[in-house]
Amino acid sequence: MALLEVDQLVVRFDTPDGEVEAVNGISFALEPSEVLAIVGESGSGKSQTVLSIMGLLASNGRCSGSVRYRDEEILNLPPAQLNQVRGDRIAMIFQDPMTSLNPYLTIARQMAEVLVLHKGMSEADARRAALEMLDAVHIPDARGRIDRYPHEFSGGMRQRVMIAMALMCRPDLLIADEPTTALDVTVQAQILELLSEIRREFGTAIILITHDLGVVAGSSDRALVMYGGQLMEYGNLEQIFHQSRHPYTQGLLRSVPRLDQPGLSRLQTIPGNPPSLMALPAGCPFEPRCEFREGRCKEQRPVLEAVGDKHFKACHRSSLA
Amino acid sequence: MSAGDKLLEVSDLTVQFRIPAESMLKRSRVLEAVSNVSFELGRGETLGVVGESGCGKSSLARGILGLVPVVAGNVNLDGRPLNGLSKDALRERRREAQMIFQDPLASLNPRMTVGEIIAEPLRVFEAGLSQPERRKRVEAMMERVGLGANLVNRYPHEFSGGQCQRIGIARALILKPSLIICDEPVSALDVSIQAQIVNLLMDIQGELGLSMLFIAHDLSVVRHISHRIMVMYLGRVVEIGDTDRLCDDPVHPYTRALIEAVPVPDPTIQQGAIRAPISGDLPSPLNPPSGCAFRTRCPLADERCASEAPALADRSGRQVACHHAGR
Repeated sequence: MALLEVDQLVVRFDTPDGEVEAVNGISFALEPSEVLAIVGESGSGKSQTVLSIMGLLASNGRCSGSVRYRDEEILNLPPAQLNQVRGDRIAMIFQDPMTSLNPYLTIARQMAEVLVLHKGMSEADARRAALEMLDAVHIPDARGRIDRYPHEFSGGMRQRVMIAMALMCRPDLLIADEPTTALDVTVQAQILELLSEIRREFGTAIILITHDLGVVAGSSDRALVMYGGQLMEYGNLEQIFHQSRHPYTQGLLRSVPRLDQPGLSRLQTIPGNPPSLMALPAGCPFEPRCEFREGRCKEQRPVLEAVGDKHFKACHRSSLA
Repeated sequence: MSAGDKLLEVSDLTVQFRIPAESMLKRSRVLEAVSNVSFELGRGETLGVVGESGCGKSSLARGILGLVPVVAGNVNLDGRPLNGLSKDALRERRREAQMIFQDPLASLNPRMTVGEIIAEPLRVFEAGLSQPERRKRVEAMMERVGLGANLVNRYPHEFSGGQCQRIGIARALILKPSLIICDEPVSALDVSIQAQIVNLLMDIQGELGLSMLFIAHDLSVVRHISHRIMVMYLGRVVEIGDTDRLCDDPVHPYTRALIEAVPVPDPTIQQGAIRAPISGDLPSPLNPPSGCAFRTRCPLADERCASEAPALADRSGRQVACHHAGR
């Protein structure tokens, strides 16, 4: 049984300027202890997809479709019911740990709160568990630091604290929204290494949201590529990086400068700009920028079809060079 | 490179900021953002400057242009000093060196049209230019950077991030400077747009024979665009050399760690999970380690590194500041 099944997820926002079509019918499934990367550029809908799963959409947002956690529907549950799952079975960490930590509370207080609330532990037991978890995420001198405030930690250490806090209830699923984007590259490597260690030791499944294809290649099992609120391609790393069947994925891979290749040549680019989510085309959102576009791409939105073993693409072209 | 080919010479540049006292009982402190940095930039050359946050790369750029307090050192542009000038003299020389910033929208005045923004340097430095001539120059520049001249009366908020960066590039180029300093010019942009801007900068540099100081934290982008690379750590230069040599065979342990930490977008090469090459965080620049600044995170550090700061020295065809590397 899949851990999480998302089916035809749609997210809309009402704004004074009109309706924003943030996510348009995303479907995917996640197995236990699997790491899935959701990759896309800004406005692709990758963050709104997971925020709707967690019931954290902004107040002008609505979502429909289905999200099943261990075969139970959790989309649009009332907060009281949803809280039995989120924070306990499914936890989330964000890009900027400083905005997700309460600056007025010590690390000990914030971490213990989760266990007192979800597991009914005593403060003393919860504190002991928090200390163990800080050790597990390699905070040096955790005993000396647990009674400090968030601002006394560096960016990388704060992200470790966030991860420790998310793991307090030993969730089955950790959702990480651009967890290393605000960090320096040597610290990013430390945090990504920690995430893979957590998956190994606790068997936690991870949804990793990122715009960095290098991070995808170095930390996940499968990847889901989004563009204009839609799923473009979905497969394992080999399928996405070496056997991609979608022009957007291919274009994205070609346009990234690589450290392992000599430079000073022109980069291949994807011409044009991403679409406005207020006025998405009726057909494929990538059509205006696609070098393989055909007549039907403008009118007909391509549906997701299997092109290999658990490899899917949404593109009208049957063959791609 | 012969002596006449140099456009920019920076020697022993030091930038310090005074941090005000937190309370009456404490003293104000001095943060040295750039320590004794020396390098040269040739005509038509791109020098990439890389390092993590707090390494002093942005302060270096601003120090060169006299935008932050320089306490020691010299900057020569085209054989003439750029620092220690009077306000008026500095202002006159600023047209030779222009800057492109990270956040394209924040660096554009929201109340001015694109045409006015790009024309403003002309209005200041070439006041004698007639209105039609100015308009012609602006429209030609807009076309050159890939913005239709028909957009001349639009406002910055009507443009995407990539287009705003094109406006910033047009404004920087309109005076035909000899030096362009780019401070993280593509790090706020999406991948597909980033490639467009990198190509534009490379094309324009080739066409105009510009010299470019390209500051970025993303080593992959820097490798792509630079002829040479300078790696900084806590305000100091740790390694400087030819791009391919430095990237394929880094000598300084920090350069090595920086390169190892960059994930390559290819699962075959990446071969499983990312591993962290070094542990720990950057020390506070308010309280840098004694001796070599990198020693607290360095796998090679010994007693000598704690007592004696290594100087830049020629090693393996580039300059490295390390007591141990490359021996």
